[in-house]
Amino acid sequence: MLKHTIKYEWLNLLRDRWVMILLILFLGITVFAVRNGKEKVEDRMATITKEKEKMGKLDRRMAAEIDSLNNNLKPAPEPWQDPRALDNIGWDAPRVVAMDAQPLAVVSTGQSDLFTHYAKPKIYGEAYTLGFSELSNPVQLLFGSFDLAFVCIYLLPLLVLGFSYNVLSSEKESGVLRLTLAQPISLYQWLFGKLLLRFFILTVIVVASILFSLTIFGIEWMGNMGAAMKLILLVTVYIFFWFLISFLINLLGNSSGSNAVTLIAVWVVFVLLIPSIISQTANSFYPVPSRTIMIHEYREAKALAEKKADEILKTYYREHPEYAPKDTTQQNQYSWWLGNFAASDVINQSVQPVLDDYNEALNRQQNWVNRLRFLSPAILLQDGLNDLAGTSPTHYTDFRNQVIAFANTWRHYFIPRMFNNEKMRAEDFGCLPTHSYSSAQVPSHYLADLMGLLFFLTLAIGGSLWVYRKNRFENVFSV
Amino acid sequence: MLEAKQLSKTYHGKQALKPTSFTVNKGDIFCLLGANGAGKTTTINLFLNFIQPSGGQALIDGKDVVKEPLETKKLLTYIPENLMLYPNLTGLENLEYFSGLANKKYPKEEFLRFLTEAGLQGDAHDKRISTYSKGMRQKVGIALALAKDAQVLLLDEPTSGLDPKASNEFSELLTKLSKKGVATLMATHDLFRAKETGTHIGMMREGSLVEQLTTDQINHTDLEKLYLKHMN
Amino acid sequence: MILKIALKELKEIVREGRFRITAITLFALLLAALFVSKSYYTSVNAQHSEAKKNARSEWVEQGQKNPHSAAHYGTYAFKPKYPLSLIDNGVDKYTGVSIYLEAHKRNEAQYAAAQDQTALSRFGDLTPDFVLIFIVPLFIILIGFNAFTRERESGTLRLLKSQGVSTWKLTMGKWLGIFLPVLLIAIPVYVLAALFLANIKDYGQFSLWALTLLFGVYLIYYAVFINITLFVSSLFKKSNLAFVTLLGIWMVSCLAMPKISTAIADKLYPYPTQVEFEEQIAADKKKGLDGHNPWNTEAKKLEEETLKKYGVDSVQQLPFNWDGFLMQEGEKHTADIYFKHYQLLKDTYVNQTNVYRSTAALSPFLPTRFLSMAICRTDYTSHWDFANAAENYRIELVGKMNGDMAANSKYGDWDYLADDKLWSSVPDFQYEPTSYTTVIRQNTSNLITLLAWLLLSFAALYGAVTQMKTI
Repeated sequence: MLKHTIKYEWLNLLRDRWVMILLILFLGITVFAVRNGKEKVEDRMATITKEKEKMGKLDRRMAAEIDSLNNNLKPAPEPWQDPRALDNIGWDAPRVVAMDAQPLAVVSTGQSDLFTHYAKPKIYGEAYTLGFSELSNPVQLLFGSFDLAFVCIYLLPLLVLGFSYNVLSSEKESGVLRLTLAQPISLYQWLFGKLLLRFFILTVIVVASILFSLTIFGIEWMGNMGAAMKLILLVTVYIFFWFLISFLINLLGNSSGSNAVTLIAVWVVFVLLIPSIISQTANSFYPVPSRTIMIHEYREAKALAEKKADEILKTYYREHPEYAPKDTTQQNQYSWWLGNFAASDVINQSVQPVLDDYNEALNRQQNWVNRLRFLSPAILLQDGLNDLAGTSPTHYTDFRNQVIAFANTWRHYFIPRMFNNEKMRAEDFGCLPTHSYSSAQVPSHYLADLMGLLFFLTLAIGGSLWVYRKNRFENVFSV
Repeated sequence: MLEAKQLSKTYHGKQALKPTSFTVNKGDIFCLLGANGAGKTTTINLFLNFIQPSGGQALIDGKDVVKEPLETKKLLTYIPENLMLYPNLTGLENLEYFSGLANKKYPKEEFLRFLTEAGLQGDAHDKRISTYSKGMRQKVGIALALAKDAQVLLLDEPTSGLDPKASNEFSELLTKLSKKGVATLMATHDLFRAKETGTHIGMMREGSLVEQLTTDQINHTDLEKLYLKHMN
Repeated sequence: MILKIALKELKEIVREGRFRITAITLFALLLAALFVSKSYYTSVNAQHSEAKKNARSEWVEQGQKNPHSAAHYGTYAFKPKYPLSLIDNGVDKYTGVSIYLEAHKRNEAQYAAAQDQTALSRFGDLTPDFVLIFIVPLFIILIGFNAFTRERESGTLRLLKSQGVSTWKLTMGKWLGIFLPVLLIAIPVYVLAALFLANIKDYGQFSLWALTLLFGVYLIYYAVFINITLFVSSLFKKSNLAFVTLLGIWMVSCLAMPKISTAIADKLYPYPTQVEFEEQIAADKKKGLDGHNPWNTEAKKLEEETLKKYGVDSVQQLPFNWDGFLMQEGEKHTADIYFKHYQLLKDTYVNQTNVYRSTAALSPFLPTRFLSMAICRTDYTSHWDFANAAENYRIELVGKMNGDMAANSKYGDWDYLADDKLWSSVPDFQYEPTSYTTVIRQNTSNLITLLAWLLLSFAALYGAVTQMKTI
């Protein structure tokens, strides 16, 4: 019975020119979206690679120079250019701390257009003052990118609605429904069969379009089957949700025009209104304190520390007796730096409360949004896709923390050696601390997002059952 | 075969059909006459279980259409005033589809035979419905009755809007089916056809069946007089 | 006659439950957006003036210092928020709010709000412009899509035609029937916005004229959408098809076109990455004069020339401090380099803007968006203007510091200290936004495109309805 309905529904769809045009259009849109994503990710990775190559080249050149200096093949350069001085290495040859793109980064631009994807923390300076903003035309940021996430979140529901808003009503309006219902069938089953087929066709087309686009742009999804399956699952559940909404509205038995209007209203509410309202409430209820105040505090602390540099260094030695010069007769060539390190610690300590307040406020805002995202499937999908693409705000915060942690590692590689008045050797380049990016410690939202979407699915099913129980299609014939 | 037992329907406080009883036996063609809004379509809709009766019962082959909607629908074929089919499918495909919904499966030749028997020309079988005239679509309806091996035909003004020749052909098909023992309930405005084709006539007015008679009891002129008398 | 039709249309629209729900929702959304924006605006402005005060006192009270060290210490320029930004926040969320002004270096504006916000903010915020520019056109489509198809489906169009009603008059009646409810929603918002803005104390630059212009632009935009809606409605036989088509038009012009234009602009005229940009500047700096490195070849050349000019043999004999002079020359040189590279960047931005201006021919949304931001002074051009003003101020500030050092200290005397007399002699950074005449001139093409949309859509509507078939 279901098979029979589906067979003829298929035949019907196959002969509908509009359906075919719509599907071909979707394929084109997907290809375009993935191309845009790919371009961004390629740029990002190219910059990182270039930066790493440059770093390697500099290392080799410096190592060679140290060798020739040690063998007196070259006259000694100015002190601020001598590669044997540790401070010069720590300042001029910083490591590249890069945030590599995740395999599925093309899927969603997320926050990636706002930030640079690497930093070069130096031996001195507070890591939180490092700039991560990418140079871009803010109009582009305002309009957003045409990526796969946009296609899935905004356009896919419209495609589903266009594909299904009049499944029942068009048959009612054309009159075929009267003949259909004169047959010994259950309308519920019959309608479900029709929608199921449409859902199935659309899902196959969408999944095929996505995988096809990923393939032609050379994105290794087969090697990342897990992530690819997660992507497909998320999108499929989202499509199914919109089909169920359509099923529900169809069950109300209104006219096609009325169905279309209702469904668009649902779309506007879920995709446009709820996200913007939540975003606005997040800004109003949990405002992030102005960065300008943070700058002020930082500058005050810094000015104070600079004034008291000598005193600070003495205190520092008291707190870190291991760094106190052993041989007081010998002048430490890094003495200027040592004072600065000490001052830097003091600055960090005094700025820390402001920084903590700031992060606290950001966290509160993020938590609010995290909780409220369960109010709209569109937000859930965005969150899930950003999670898969590794472009969520959490990923960027985590990366910044990694940079700060690495800045510390970098500095603490040099500090003891500088207090010991050591020099850089050519073979030391191999043992400098390095950073490798991993997003493993970013808590994944994926499962929660999927559960949220499944919850919406359940709601839609519940709603359909309720409508079915309530009116039993009386409306269908009260023309 | 078809039986209405004190059948009634109330819409929003207005009685569209007052308690009505009648029977249509095998081979009978029962024609319902009456003005628009007299309750003819309501009666047919009740037999189709499209709407719930407010009182009484509609029985097909002794089964209550509300309690056993699927069983009773297996027995009947319904042809509305304007039979609509899927425009993108051919006549044959539409026939196959709707018979399939009733769980009737035949080889293709058999379906073609039904279409021919219903009077549809061979070259139209594989054309899309969008190219069909109204009369041709009604013939697909008859073919569906043949394919379903229907015991009951419910017709809602099937000949209105057909030209006299098509109308005549349709009536002949009905007579053919009634000879096979099919019970037919037909709502119509066409007094002439009702007298020619029908075996029984019922006249309705404001939701009541005001007159029941057999066609052999009356001639054309008296029928018309009787009709006008009831309508005024 | 036209008015009679308009009133009949209005009656029909208002009697529909759908209209009442959406109109009330729309109005509530606009009010909510306006109130929320106002409170956001007030708090941002309070922070802004506090930050401004802080920056000034930091600068003035920095204590005794060598003037060049003071130039290194630097100060901040803060971007003011203009009253109309509470209607349209434009790109403000994505541009930084403060620029660090220091010696030798032109910095980008930092701390864009979007960087600290959640990913959700990328959906857009519920600000008045969001409702005015995205939702109102949807509302127009909703109440107008069946203006003609409804009459065609029910057959009343034939009846009207047989009465000898001119279709153009009929159309104008329907047009007004849609425009009036839109106006009914827009006017209270306009009045309320004017009241809000008139009561804002800090920035006195609010002009009713600008607000009126802004609403004028929106009304033209709505007129275009009404024309398109009626045009499509007159073409189709079925309301469904008209609705789906109009929805497609809305989606393409408001959602897809901006993003597609962005992809095109980015492909044709890509922005350099932050790193590329900095590297190009660093490369140029290396080639030229370095104010902090007297051994630099360019510096040597300058030394020889200066000595010759003053007819002395050594820098010590010069009537001013050579270090201060050299650093100022270096400063001029780097300022030129920054100017050159920012000019290149600006060229890219202008090219990208031109891409948007040409794609505006395909979407009435684009010219409206740009005009709205420009009038509210929240567009990218305003940001550029501010950044340039800050750069000029920086050059002036650093020049004054180096000049003081050159004039008042001896060569090699790095212990020379200036005090708050010098610091407070530098005027506070004041920024005057460009005049509206300039704003309009900069946006002539957007204005022309929008007006072309208006005229062409009217013409299309006229053509369609006069040749309309009744069946």
